[in-house]
Amino acid sequence: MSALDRTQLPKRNGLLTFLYAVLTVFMFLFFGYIITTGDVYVGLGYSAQLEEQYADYEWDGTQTAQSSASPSQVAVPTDQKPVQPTTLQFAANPTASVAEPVQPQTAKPNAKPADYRAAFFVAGLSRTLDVNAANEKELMALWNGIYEAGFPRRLNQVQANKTVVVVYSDYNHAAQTVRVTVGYRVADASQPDTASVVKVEAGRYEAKASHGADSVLLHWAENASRQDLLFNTDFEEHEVDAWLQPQKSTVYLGKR
Amino acid sequence: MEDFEQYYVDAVYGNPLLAYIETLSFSVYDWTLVFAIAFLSLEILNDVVTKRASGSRFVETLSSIATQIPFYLSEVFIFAGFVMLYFYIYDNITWQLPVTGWMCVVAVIAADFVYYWEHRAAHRIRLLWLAHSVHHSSPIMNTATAFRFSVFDPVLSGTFYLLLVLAGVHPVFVFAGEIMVQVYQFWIHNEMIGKLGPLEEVMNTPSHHRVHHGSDEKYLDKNYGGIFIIWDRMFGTFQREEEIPNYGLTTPINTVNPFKVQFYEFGGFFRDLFKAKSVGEWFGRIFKPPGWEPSK
Repeated sequence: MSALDRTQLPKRNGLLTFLYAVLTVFMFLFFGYIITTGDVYVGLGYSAQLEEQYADYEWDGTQTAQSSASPSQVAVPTDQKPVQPTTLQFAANPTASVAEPVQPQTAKPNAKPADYRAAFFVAGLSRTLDVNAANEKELMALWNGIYEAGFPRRLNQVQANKTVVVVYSDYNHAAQTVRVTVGYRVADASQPDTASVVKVEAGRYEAKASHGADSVLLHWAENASRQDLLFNTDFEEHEVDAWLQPQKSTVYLGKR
Repeated sequence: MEDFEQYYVDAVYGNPLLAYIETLSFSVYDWTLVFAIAFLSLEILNDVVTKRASGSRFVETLSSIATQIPFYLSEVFIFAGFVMLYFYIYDNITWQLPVTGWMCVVAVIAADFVYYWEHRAAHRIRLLWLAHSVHHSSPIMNTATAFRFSVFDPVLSGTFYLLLVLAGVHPVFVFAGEIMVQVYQFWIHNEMIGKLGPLEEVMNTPSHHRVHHGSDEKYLDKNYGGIFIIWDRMFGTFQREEEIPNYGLTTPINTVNPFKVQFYEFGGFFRDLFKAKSVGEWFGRIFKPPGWEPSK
């Protein structure tokens, strides 16, 4: 018997067969893309998923941190973006330490750890940050999800009287790097906080955060490595190294 | 159980690579279902356009899809049990292999190798064939056939992949490998794609897998591979597609009843056990290939 002739297959419509072939090729390219980049939600956005997941989540709307727009999309450098770190409980408890686990302000009722897979995923990848969100709603959802499962909160590993302000962060799955906007300041819940972008350059921008009379510059760096964090932020070397330590060295808080 | 959930969160989501692989694996599986719907729609449309469509083909397709209901119900519990077992074993062995990206690639290849032997055993050991025969009982070949599973399939897979955990592979990598092997195979269940040139030499393809589903004498017990066909070439079970196979079991089940589809082989199996005249025959009925008789 000779090798199979394609005509031996059951009758196939040419157009549909072509579409089938195109779909097959597309599927392999698609899977290749998400496997190599980790962009598992491909444009649908994990943020969109969380929007739905936390549709009933109540946000008071008082905080408006940086949007998820990329730096090049930051249109108005002087736009005032009030930052309210009390949503992360730092300002309310600026000396939060591993011995004083912070309670989330508003947890989703009946939420179970299983609801937060995406959140853990993000948190697990972004080595240097436990909170990684495009907007406040996600930020709080992530925070609660992380907290409820007792996920390590490295944000608390900074010095007792300093608070990390996460204005916006993103991550690169493939490179396992993060791009972050971070800064620290002396926390004081009694003073209003503001942040404004003061400088925009390709690949980075600087934002000025005011805290009462004090202000510090927040730095943004794409795909931040250890060197990036050291160079672009005001953190001390030992602080950056503490963030980058393997998971086993992490201090656990919350329900543990 | 809650303790284990916490343990799992710590063990998996505390490691960026494991978190990445775990989430990616499940996401790939989710997307597979989306693509499967598209593929199946095109196949059904092709049947209609080429006047091949019939009520029986459509019901047969539904019958295959219907097997997913009991399969998922069983998998939820069985899979959860294996997850705990895998982690328990992995945590209590001293020869854990490194958790690296390359190790994950190796794990997928190793999973495909294990799958070859699992699949071969499922065809050559009657006890295991009880489960796997469900997948082969459809007389048609389309994407729905890829999802035609037995409620006992998770036991089969979980048991064989345990070997990888015992070898020191991290459970998350094992599950990722298992998922990749399964996901790869859904697109090879069709009659829309002919032969794929050089790929036929290395990869499992629709053509190779049509052979695997054939009930013709020369196609029986061939092409067990999951992702790669090289295992069949290495171990003497490779067969090229030379004419379109007749699909299904050698004895057609002639039913789309979901219960009968799941347990079709059980009746004959237990009848043979009861009529066994010796302990040797009894074991033979269980562990020898389907169709084995003491006189052979």
